[in-house]
Amino acid sequence: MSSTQHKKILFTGPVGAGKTTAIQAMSDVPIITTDEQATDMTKERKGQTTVSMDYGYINIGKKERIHLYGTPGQERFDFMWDILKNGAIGLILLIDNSRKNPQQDLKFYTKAFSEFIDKGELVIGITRMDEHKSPNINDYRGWLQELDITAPIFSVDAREKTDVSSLIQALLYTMDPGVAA
Amino acid sequence: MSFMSNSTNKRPIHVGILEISAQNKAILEFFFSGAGKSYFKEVSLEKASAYIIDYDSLGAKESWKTKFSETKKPGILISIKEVDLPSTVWLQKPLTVKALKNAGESIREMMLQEEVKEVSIAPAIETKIEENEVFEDIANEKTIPEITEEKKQDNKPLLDNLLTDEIVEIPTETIDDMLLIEPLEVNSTEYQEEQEEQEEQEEQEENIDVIDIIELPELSIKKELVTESIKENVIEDIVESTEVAQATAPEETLQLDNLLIDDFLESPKEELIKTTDEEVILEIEADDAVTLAEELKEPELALAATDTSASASSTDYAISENFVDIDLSLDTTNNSPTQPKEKSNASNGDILSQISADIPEAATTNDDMDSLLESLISGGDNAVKTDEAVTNITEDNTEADLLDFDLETNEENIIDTRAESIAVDIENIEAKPVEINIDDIEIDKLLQVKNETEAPKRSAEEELQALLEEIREEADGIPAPDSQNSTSSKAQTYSPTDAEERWKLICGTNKDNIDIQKLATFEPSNHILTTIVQNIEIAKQNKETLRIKFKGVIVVIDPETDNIYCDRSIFTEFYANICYEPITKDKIKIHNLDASELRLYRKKMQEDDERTHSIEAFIWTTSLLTSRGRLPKMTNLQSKVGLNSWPNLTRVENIPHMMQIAALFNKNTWSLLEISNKSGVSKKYVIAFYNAALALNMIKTNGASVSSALLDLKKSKNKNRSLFSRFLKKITA
Repeated sequence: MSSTQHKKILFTGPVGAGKTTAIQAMSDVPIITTDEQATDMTKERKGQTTVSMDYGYINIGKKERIHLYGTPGQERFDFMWDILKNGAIGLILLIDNSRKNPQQDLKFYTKAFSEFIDKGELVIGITRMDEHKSPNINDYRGWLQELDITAPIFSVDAREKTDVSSLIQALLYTMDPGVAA
Repeated sequence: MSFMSNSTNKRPIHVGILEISAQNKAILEFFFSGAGKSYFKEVSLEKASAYIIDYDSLGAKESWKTKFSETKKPGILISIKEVDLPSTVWLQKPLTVKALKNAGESIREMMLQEEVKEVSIAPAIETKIEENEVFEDIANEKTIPEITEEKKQDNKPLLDNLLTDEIVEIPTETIDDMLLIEPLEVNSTEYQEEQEEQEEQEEQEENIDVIDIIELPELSIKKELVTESIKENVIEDIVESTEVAQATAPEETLQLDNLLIDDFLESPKEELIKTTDEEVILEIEADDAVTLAEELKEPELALAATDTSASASSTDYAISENFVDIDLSLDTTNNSPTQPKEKSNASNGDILSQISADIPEAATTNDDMDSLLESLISGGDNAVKTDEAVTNITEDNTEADLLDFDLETNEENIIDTRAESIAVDIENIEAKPVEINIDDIEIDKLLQVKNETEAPKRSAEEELQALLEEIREEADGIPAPDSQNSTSSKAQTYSPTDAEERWKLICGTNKDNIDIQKLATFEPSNHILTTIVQNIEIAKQNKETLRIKFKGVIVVIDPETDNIYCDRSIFTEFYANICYEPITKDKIKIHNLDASELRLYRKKMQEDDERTHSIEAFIWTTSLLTSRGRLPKMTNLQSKVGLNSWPNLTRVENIPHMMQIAALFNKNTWSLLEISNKSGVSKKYVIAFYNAALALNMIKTNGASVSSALLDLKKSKNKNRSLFSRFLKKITA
C-alpha cells in the first residue's frame, strides 16, 4: 500500500510578476492569500500585494497532492523565503518584463534561490513580454548563459493555465526527463 | 511602576498583543524571535508594559480606548493610515523590520520619560541624588574602601567585584541595577533630542530655501538662496543679468520653468544670458524646455527621499539599482529582518511555528503546515474547471490569385532617385536655421517638392508612388484567401483530430519502428527556410527591415520588434507545401523597406495579430514544415547533440512530447540514434524537434559523452517519478 505523498512547488519573483495569479490559475481550490493594501512604492504597480505567502494545491487522485506556495515579492519579507523553500521540490521563478531592470531581478532571485539551480529544479517564466517586447527572450538566454544557468525559460501569461502548466511540465521533465505522462 | 522594570536599553519591552490579523501576528512573532529579540518580548496582557494592536481590525479602536484608559500604558498601533493618539506609536503597514525597531525605540523613550516623571515626583530620592552625585565630592572623599566595608556588612559583595582590578567586564545584573545613573542619561538624551531637533530645523530651513529657488515663478533669485552646491560666481552673474532684464523689460522676463540652474553652471554664461539690448534673450527649443521642466522636478524628489518611510519602502528599487551591492544595501537600510546566522540557527519547528498565519497551532513539520493550510480551505472539491474553447480547423487549400506587385520593376532606379531626392532636401534643410528631424519627413512630401523643381525625375517618382500604393494596399489588408480558416499558434486550439492531421504535416508520418538511418533527407539550402534564416541574420546585423516575396507569399522581417509578418497563414497546407518543396533563387525577391513602408507594415502587424509571429515561432514552424519527418542531408547520426538553450516552448507551435525532448537534450548530449531508441518518444517527434531547434541555432554538437547509466532513463529515474507521472497526467489532461 503506497503512502500518501505531498510535495511542494514554490513560486517566486519580484512584486507584480504574477505569482498569485499563476497559483490561482493552477490551484484546484480558491487560494489562500495574504494580500494587504500596498502602501509603499508597490502601489504604483498594483493595489494589493502579498505580505506573507499564497497557497493553493492540485489534487492528484484522492490521497496525493501538490502544494503550491507563492513567496511575498518584496525583499523585506525575505525571511519568509527561507521558510517557504524548505522542502520544496522545485522552483518557478517569474520575472516581470515591464520592470525597470529585469536583468537585475533575474540575477537577484537566481542568487537568492541558488540551491534550486544547483539541483536543476528551476524554471523561469517571463511575464508581460507581450506588452513589453524589450528585453526579449534572447536577451534573457544571454543573461542566463552569463550566469551559467541552463534552466528552461519561457514567456508566459500568468493568467493562462496552459502557460503555467507548461512551466510545471518543464520543471517536472527537468527534474526527471524519463518521466512520462 | 511596571515601566521601571523595562526601562533600560538592554531589556526587551514586554508587550502584549491585542487584536491583530493572523499574518501580521506571524510576522511579529518571527520578528520577536530573531531581529527584534532585543526590542520586544511577548508576554500576557496582564504582564505587558506596552501593547501592540492592529488598529485597522474590527473593534480595535474601542479596544484600545478601553485598554489605555485602564492601564495608561503605551501602545504600537499598526495601521495603513496614520494614527496620532497620546502614548502611542503609529506603525505603518506593511510591517518592516526597520519600522518595528523604530517603534520599539519610540516606545522605550516614551517609557523612559514616564519613569523620569515618576522619579521627579519622589522628592526624597531626588534630594539624595543631588547630595551624593556631585562628582568632585565623590572624587575627594576617597571613601570607596569604607563603602565596600559597609556593603560587605550588608551582605552585598557586589562592589567588591567592581573594585577588583581582575574583573574586566561588569556583570549584566550589575548594569541593570545601576539605575541611579539614569537621570544623567535622560539629560543626555534630552540634549541629543534638542540637537536633533535643531538639526532638523536647519535642514528644513535649507530645504525651504531650495524650494524657494525652484518655485519662483520668475527669475528673482536672491543671493541668500544659493546653496553650497551652486557655484556662487555664476549665480551672481545670473542674478545680476536677470535683475537687469527685469528692470528694463519686465514683460519679457524669462520663465523659470524653462531654465535649470545646473545648466547655467555647466554652460558658458554668455551663451545663456544675454542683455535685453538683444532682441532675443534666450531661445529654448520646445524639447529642451520639456527636459528642463522635468529636471526641475528632481530637487522635489530629493526632498521626498528624506522621508524615512519612503526610503525604507524603496528597498526593492535600491536593490535593483546595483546588484553587486545587494547585501550592503540591505544592511545599511536595516531592511533585512533577520541576520543570516539567526536564520540558520532557527530550527525547523521554530520557523514553522512563526509563520502560523491563519494557522491555529504551530506546525512542527512541513506536512503539518500543509495539512493545516488545507484545513483552512473550504469547499475543497471546487475544482477549477477550464473552459477551453476548441476551434475546428478547416484549411483552405485553394490558392487565390493575389495581386502580383512585381516590386522589382525598375526598383533600383526608383530607390536611387528617391535617395537622391532626399539627399538634396537634406542639404537644403540643413542650410536653414531651424532643425528638422529627417526621420519625420514624409517621403511623399519631399517628392512633391521635387516635382515642382525637377521635372525629369517625374517618371521614377510615379513609379515609386505606385510601389508605395501597392505596399499600402498590402498593408491596408487585402485579406489573404485563407484568413478565415487559419489558426493562431498562440491559441493552439486544435481538436484532437485536427491536431493529429497537423502533426502529420509538421512531423511526417514515419512509423515508430522505422530505421532512422533509412530516413529521407532534404537539402536545406534548396528551401525557402534557408533564405528566410539567412535574411533574418542580415536584417539583425544591418538593423534593416527586409521584405521577401516567394510564390505569392510576402514575408516582412522586422528585427527591431523581433517580429515577422507573413501575409498568408502559416497554418495552412498551402504554406506547408511551399516550405516542403524546393525553390530556386530566381523565384525569391528581396526588398529593403524604407521608413514609410516600414510604418505601413508596423501598423499592419499591430492590427493583424494572426499574421504576425515572433521570429522564433516563425522559424520553428517553417522548419517543421520544411523537414516534415526528414533529416537534413549530411546529418551525423552518431554525433552527440544537445541544447544550447530552451526554445520558447510556450510561444512556438506545439509538437507532442516537446517538453520531454527538450529536457532530454538539455540535460545531456545524445546522438539521434540514442535518444530515439532509449527515450521512448516517437522518432518522428524527436527528429521534428531536432530540425526546429537546429534552424533556431540552438543545437550544440560534439558535447561531452554521456555515461551509460545516464542514458538508461529507467535506471536514472527520480524517486518521485511515479508521482510526477500522475501529476503530469493531471495537468496535461
